Amino acid sequence: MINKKIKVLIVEDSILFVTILKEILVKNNHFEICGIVKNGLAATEFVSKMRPDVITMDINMPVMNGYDATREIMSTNPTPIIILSANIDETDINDTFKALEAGAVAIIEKPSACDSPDFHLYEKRLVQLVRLMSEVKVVRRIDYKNRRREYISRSFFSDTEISNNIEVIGIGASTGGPVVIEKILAGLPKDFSFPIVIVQHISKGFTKGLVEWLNHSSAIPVKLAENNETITKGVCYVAPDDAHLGIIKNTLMLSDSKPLYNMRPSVGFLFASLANNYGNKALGILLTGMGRDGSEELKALRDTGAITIAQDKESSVIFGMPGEAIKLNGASFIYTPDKIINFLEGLNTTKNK
Amino acid sequence: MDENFLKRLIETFKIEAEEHYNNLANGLITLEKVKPGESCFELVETLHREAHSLKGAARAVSFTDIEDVCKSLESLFSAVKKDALALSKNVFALAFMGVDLIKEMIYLNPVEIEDDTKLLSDTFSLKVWELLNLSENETSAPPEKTFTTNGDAAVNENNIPAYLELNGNSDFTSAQSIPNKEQITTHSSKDIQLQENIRISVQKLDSLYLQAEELLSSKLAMEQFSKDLQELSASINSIKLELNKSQSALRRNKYLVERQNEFTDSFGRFSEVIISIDNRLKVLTKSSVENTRKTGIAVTELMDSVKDIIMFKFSHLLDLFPKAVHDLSSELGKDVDFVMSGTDIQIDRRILEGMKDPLIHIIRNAIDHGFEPSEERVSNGKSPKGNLSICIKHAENRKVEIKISDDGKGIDIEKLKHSAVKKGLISLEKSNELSEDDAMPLLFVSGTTTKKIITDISGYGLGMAIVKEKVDKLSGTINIKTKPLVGTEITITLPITLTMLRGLVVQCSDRQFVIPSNYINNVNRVSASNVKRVENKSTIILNDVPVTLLYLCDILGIKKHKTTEDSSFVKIVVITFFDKLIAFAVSDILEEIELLIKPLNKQLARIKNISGATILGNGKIVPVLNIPDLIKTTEKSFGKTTDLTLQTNESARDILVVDDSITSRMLLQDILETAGYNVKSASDGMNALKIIKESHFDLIVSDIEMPLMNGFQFTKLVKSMDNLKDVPVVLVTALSRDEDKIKGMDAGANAYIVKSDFEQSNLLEVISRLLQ
Repeated sequence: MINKKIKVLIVEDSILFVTILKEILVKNNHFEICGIVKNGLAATEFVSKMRPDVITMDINMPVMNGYDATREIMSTNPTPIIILSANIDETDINDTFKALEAGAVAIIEKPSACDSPDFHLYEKRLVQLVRLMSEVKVVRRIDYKNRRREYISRSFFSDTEISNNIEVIGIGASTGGPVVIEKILAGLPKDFSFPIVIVQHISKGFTKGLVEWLNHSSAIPVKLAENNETITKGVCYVAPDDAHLGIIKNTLMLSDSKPLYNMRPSVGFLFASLANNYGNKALGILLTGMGRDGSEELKALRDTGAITIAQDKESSVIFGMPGEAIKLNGASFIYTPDKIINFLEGLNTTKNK
Repeated sequence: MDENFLKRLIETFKIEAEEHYNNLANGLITLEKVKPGESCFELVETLHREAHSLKGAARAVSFTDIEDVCKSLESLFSAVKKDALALSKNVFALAFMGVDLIKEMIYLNPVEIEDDTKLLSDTFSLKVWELLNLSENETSAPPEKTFTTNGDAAVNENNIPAYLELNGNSDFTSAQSIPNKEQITTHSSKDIQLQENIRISVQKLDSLYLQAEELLSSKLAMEQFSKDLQELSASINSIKLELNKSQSALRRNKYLVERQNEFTDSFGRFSEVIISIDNRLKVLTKSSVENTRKTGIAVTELMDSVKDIIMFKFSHLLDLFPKAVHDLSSELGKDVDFVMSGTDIQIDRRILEGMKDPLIHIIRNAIDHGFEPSEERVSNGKSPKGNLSICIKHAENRKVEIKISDDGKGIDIEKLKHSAVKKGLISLEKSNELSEDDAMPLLFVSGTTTKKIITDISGYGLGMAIVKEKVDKLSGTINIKTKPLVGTEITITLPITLTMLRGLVVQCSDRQFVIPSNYINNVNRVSASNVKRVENKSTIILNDVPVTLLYLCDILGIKKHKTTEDSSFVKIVVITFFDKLIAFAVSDILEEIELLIKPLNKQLARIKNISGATILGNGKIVPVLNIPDLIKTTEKSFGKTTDLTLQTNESARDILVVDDSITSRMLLQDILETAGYNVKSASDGMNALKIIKESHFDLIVSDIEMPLMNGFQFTKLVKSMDNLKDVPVVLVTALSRDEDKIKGMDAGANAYIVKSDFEQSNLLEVISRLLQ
């Protein structure tokens, strides 16, 4: 990786955005633009001949859109795909999440207001994302939903005290997270009787879309968390843009205190509030993501006697956050998403006994 | 992002925005043509995507005004897509308004956008919002409601806003049952499919082209080099022959017998050297010929490829046209069906660029005065809609033919003649003699128009002269056929590429010139005794037709050397120009060559009769004659014949500009001063009258809407004064209604130009015409 440049394929029908992306990436010595194509179809043809390390994919394109192209590429020549999408368009956002479902590894908003003095922040974010994603190992996606489930021994839940004790479930995720969260929520039973509170790092403007998308498949209602909202069993709350989410006495609390791990909302903030206010009455789950947001706090939560789960390396797009937590000995269990579902199912069954 | 990059980005944005604009405008026009019952879903979807993409692009460069307009357009198309809004006239009007706003703002930087435009774009967004929200309400309201409000149909119609066509419109539902619906949709979406292209800057291409052209002159030089070598080889051969002869002569010479050995040795050494030179020369010649051939092929191929690169599809230019025709015909209240074919044919970009204005002009002409009003058309047995078409075809000799036809009323030949007579271009008697075909060239003479008042969509006259000049410049030809009531057909034939021409090198006294072959009808040699003098002109008879003979030396002002020229014969080059034959006498006709015209440098940008220079194989630089120019010169030297030149550079004339807006006034003053006129200005009619009394003016340019005394009143007053009534008055105004034009005419204005699509060249054309 030292001398080799990262080969990027840009899929974008607008010459303007191509110009911007090229400028940002080429300025950074790590990248080499190995191709620029103007629509999804051309992208699928391109990857069948050459293997880029990573693809930036526009959503709204003529001939074949970014979602169809992602699906096609992920089932034939799996390549890490980053979706570039306008974060102000409902249709785009919808397709963006569909593309995530189809196997795209990350999303970022399209560049806007290049003349603004803050634009370098976007550049930095994009460069970091493309670099990281180029290293992600992606697998061919063929009907991943039909994969055989692994089961967790029911005997674990024979002790109903664990289930009855738990009052809230907190989930934190970053890169690669939306798909896993979607999978978990879709796998839950309809009568799931715990409230779930989620912090997912996502580009500004996409949170609302994320909630809508999750609602399509989730067994339980998913909504944006509101300040001072009382949590209810069987409802899932997602932290909104640009606010930390904490929870005290079954009441949600949004905070604009300064970013933690450079993030707002931060998983750490949520887990810390769980550790402080719920202790072993909370369940913490830390999913795929870059960085180490939430790792120390998961450990703190575990230290209060709570059960904590970290996603396994194999299924994590980026094994940053869960990896760190495991290193700190912060996870009671290391599970695949399927196993997490099974665990939650078991939890629910024993509680409702 | 650094400054330069941002600048480049904005340039890129403009190019892209223009593309989106074209796709939007043309898509809308295609959509408008979709008949009720045909599905248009894909078309609407494409429009939606175009608006969407442009919005994103505008956002990236902070062109928020364009972003806003696009946002509204997008929601408009989105509603149509979801069947929540029917495509009514008002939806189209609104969409076109949005598209026009975009066009207006693309070329400006956000800070340059005028408040008016901003206001307009706000209005636009508001209107879209109203339309969408109202229609939502209406759809949610039970439809019976309208019927229960006491059954008077007129009342009902008044109650429902005209643009509200409710969802579930019968046309829309019936669309589902049309069997070949898919065929239609695929077809229409294909029409506006985007091309896949890479952008390379024009400058880079041009420099590539020039470099390839440089190779061409090396190729020519190499050919010459091989020829020289071959000649050298031939001379050596003749030396060899001479040597052999001398040798055998020596042998036969008995007086030299005793010294023969000495000579033989010397001859032997001599012939050895010669033979070795000969051999080496042969090898050299052979490889040079071989190399020349190879290089020649490679260079030709390279040239062809490069030429291919600089070839553009006609669609590149013509994609603008449907919208332009649409706008223009609706402005003039004419219903026009416009079709194009052959737009995939490619042509040199520079030719395409050069044809932009001429084509637009011709189209304008056709719409403005080609088509008669619908009622008149119907009474003439034609369809109420006018048919206008541009058809592009490949023609012989690597040429392209553009045919613009309309089924309007045709050009009024009598009016044309009349106008020409009035302008003093031809005599009345002569005009009566002219057949229709012969009269047609009069169209190209500046100053003839069949339209009574000059509007901004100007008369045929002046414009066609410019069209012709442009076409000439591109080495093309133009031909007009017209039939009263049936229509007009204008055919322009152009070379596909500009530069490679064939030319004839001629000797003129001690100098050489090149005559481009495309003008040459034939070359000939006539006996000096056959040169007759008719009406003070030398004339010869060629194929029973008298042809004017001119001496090239005389025209170019070159002194004739009394040389060894055989004076019993005259060598002539016969030129075809405009269906006329003209013979030029030259000292000698040398050879026909492929030539490459190099434009002259800036310092020499305008040299009479010379269009450029070319380099011959032997490295000699030879000027290339500009035939149209040459003909003009000759016609001037005849004195009073139809003078095709445009009048330029007259002594500075005085113009008065009357306008109450300081910006308009300054703008006009600036334009006119730049064009070389002396300009004074006044802020209203009263003020103007004062100034007029004090000094003399050759022409007055006036606004209409002014305080104290408006333009109509002012014009009327000027025209009523004895000493001023001959001073031409041009009304420049924002009012484009027909009744205003008529008012202007009644007031006595000589021309009427609408500000909204104010083009300065148009203004200057009109002014220079009126001052003639």
